[in-house]
Amino acid sequence: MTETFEQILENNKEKIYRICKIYTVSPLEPQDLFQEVIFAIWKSLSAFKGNSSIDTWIYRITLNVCLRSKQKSEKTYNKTLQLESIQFIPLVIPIENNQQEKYIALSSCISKLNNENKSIIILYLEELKYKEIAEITGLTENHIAVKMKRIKKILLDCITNKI
Amino acid sequence: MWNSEQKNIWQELKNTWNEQPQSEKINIQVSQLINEFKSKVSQFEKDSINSDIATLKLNWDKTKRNYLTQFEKDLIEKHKNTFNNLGLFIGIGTSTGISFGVAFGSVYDNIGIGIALGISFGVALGIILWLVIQKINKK
Repeated sequence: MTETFEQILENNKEKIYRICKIYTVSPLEPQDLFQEVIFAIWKSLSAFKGNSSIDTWIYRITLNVCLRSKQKSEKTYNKTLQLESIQFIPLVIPIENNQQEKYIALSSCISKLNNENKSIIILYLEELKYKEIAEITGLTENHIAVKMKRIKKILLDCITNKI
Repeated sequence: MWNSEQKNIWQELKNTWNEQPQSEKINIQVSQLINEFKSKVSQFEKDSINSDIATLKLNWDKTKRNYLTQFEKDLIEKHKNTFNNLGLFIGIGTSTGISFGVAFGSVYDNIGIGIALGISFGVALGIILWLVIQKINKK
């Protein structure tokens, strides 16, 4: 079980953190949210029956924890996990300005979407198929297709204005 | 043409998303992490059990105060009346029996046996009377 959990973390930590960064709302930090997600995955791992792919399952947990975190108030903030075994080491890699600018514009536009649309577009950007997005969000594939058309338009308009 | 352009834009956005600049590296010590989780879970379980106990206590107090008390009160009251009546009949029977016993003992010059017989007779009489009254009440 330990090995499986380790593999899951290693294969998914980057994408979990990407999603956490979008959903983080002050006073929570993306690191706090990331720890909450990892804890949730560990708690639910024994219940994973393999009915869906592990990726789908990880996305579902991540989105659920992230959406719940938005309801956390200042009061419950102090109760967030403080895990010493997870460290975030700052990187000093030169960042391409253009790439940075595009990412900031994209994340800022995604943040403006409502929760449902935000989940859908994140999963789309993560290269998931409509069928998989439908499985994670609980919507139908057709519904996803219709929503995607609207979301794409909103997002493109927003990004064009920013860049 | 438009479709292909759209596809390119979205592919570029996907690349931007997936290759977003990393500002930090995530290091996870898995075995230590599992130990930390286990300690958190046991604390969580303790909190959860305490919370359950508090809920149970609260509900029990409510039950005692509201629903059951009324029910129990009625039931106890009913039984109390029944037993009071039984006591009353046994009392009447015993005193009658003692009176007869004293009289009987005086005649045969043995008051002790007379009283003992009177008490037994009185108790039996009281119970019989009580049973008769119960039957009459049920009818």
